[in-house]
Amino acid sequence: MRMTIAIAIFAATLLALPANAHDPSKHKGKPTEGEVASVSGDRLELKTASGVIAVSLTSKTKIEHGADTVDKSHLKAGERIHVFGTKLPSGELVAKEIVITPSGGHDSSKHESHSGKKNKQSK
Amino acid sequence: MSRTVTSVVVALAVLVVVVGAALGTIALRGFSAREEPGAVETFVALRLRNLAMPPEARNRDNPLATTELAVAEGRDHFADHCAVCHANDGSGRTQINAGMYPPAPDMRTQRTQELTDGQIFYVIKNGVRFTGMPGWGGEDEENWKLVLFIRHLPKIMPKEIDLMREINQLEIHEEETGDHHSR
Repeated sequence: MRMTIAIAIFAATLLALPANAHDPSKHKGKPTEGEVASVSGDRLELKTASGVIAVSLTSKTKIEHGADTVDKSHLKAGERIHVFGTKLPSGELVAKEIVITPSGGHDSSKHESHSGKKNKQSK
Repeated sequence: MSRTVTSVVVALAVLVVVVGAALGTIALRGFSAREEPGAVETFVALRLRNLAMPPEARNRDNPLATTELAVAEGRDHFADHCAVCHANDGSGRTQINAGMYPPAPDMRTQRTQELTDGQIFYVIKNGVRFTGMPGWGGEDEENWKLVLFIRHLPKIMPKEIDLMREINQLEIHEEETGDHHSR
């Protein structure tokens, strides 16, 4: 019995190791939140609390609407979105992931859990 | 006395002297990590590090092109994981680094910039033993983006540092920026 428990603990430890590995998906960064002002091809204008910024999409950009992964046709003017991505020095935001807030308003609890991290990491 | 015995005695004597000198140095200087590594120790450590690096790793070229986006992605990754020790501008002027032995280098200077892309990649991935540099492992593509960003550090712009600060809120550590950080 003790041997079984020891093996189980050892196996559980091994299974837990990948969670501690350096996984880039774990550091998506802080999202930029705003309302889509306009969409044109692979670019959109996003109205944020600090002004309008340009957001560009790439072939790797993932778009989520609720629990579904959708294509860019779901991005429409007036939609509220959270954008995870990389800001270029020009101010343009290159989107890695866009989360369309389900209609009915801002779901801050989902937003917090989705970001999965606080800003400061000491890793 | 045979020649073999003489050699063993001489080797043992040298070992005793070296160990004695090391123990004497520790006894006299203590083990504070706030000390500055000496010139001999630095020289030897850097050469040992380079010797210990497999030649095939040293000769690897960065497979990624230097695009604005790739550098920016490396920048965000650096802000998230590296800047806590290396500082957003790569200078090593951080609170942690003020007490590191050996200190993280100023990555903008020749000591880092003269390394090959493969050497920088190897250090990121595997770390350096007996220093504070951990081996991050991780995905190769992400690590190569970090190499691109480290190459970019000597010409980093204030706007880019502002973007990093949005991620980590780190300021450049202005205290105790003496010799310990100028390396």
